[in-house]
Amino acid sequence: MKKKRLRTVSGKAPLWLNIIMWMVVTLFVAPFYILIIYAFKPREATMLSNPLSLPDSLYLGNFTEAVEKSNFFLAFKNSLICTICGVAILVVVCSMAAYIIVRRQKSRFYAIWQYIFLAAVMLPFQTVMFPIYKDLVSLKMLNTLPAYILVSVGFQLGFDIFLYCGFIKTVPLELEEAALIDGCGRMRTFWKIVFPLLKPVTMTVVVLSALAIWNDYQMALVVISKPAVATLPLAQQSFIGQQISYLNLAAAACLLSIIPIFVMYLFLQKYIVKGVVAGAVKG
Amino acid sequence: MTGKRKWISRLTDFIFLLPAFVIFAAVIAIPFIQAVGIAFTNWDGLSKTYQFNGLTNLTALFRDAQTANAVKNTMLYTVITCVGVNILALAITVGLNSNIRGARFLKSAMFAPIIASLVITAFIWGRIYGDVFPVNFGVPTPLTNTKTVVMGIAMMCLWRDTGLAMVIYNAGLQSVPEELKEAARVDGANAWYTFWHVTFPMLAPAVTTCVTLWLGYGLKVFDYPKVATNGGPGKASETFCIFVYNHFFSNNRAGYGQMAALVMLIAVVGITSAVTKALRKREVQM
Repeated sequence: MKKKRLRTVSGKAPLWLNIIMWMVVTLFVAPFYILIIYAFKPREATMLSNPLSLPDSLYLGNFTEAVEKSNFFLAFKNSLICTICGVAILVVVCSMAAYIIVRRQKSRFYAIWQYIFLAAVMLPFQTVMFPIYKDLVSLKMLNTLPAYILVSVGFQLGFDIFLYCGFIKTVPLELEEAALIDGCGRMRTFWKIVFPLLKPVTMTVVVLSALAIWNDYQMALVVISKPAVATLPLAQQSFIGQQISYLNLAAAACLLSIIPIFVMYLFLQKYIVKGVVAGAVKG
Repeated sequence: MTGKRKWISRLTDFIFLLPAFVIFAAVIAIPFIQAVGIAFTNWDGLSKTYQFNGLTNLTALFRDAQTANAVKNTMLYTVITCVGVNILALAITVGLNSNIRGARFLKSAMFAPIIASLVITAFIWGRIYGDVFPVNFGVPTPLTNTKTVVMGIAMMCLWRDTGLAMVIYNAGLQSVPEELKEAARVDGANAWYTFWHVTFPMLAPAVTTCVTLWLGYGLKVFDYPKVATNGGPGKASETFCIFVYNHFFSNNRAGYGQMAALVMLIAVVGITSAVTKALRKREVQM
């Protein structure tokens, strides 16, 4: 109440500042315009003089053609499987690990693990890329989705445990203590009582991990390079390479793959913002 | 009886950590140990046999002209993106927080580029540079010129990441008490003075965070130049990560590349922690 009153005292921003800010933001959103108009133009129109002109009509042929030629649904399915499995594993594994690390803080063994996982966040993928690749070859797991899921989970693990640890420290002990006294085992106490309380941070973990796996390019390039198992970023990169003179098709394929993540962004933006802020504290 | 129960309870405690431990060991710890082993050999990455060659890879790395090139490109990219993202994000955040009409909408719009994957970002900017620049502005694309290519790639990062940094600055700005700014205003300070002497010092932790983050992202950059130019033209946009990747997967010099990757790890950790330390110290002084 007090804050609100003070805000109004400092008054509205001048008109010029309003105009500048709207222009700056427009500039940042403008590149999407290119993607959208290219996706709706027939091929001849993308080669005409002015690339910024609006399409004459909404031509949907690009989308059907791009879906057919780029094997879009296969890559989409692969991306979806990897993202859903990866996120589910991360939520279970990281919440459990973080819980025991925080609750057994006094034991040196568990306290050290917090630092080990935090250090893993800093590790560049390049450092272990080649051994991972070679190990997967000798295990005959290269170009399989489980291998890719495992590697993505491994590299997201440290960050998600860090997020969970920060939140679990704020969860009061009383509830679980009561359950433990009543003879409920630690495992049951965790899943029945603690885990439901973690819902806000779980949402953040889900959104950030999903975004990371869905958009990942570098790890996918090393682990799953065959077309049959390629995820969307990989499939698109090779499709764009093949369709260098069919920009309309490439644009349509790109636009299609943004849609699911855009929908998620619209509904879960709050959690993305929270997660970025929480994650930034590690600095 | 109690001894047995204690043992069981310890075992259940460890079961909580076990899955994370196994995945960590399989994906990070074991490969890391293998990596250190490979770095001191002359392995080509394919043959069954290879020899330990001591520090030969390390000395060769420091004499390699390509190393210098990769370091130079990485540094240039890191400086442009780290400085650029932070200045842009700070300026836009402060602007949007001064009672602009529709600020909430503008803030979410600024965040939108982050949903585009690297591949899509590279495609969009490839079209802007390739089609819009020459046709609408009469400027050639920066991506084919060895002098401007890093700048061109850095622009993609500025576009995609500024919104992300804004989120952190925004949170920092919310923590500046309104009363403090009000007090400065009542004392007759203008907006510019208030910003530099009241708001900015309070934002110091956010600055530390963002500078450190984008320093790390910059030094480890792989995807942007890989997708946009594949390190070209020539090797004009080859960053250190691409340099390492190429030694593994196209030059067949795994031992050498692995040594380069280890040196990179040490450099990244060293530079990031030195900068963080310096910034934290300054935070306290402010």
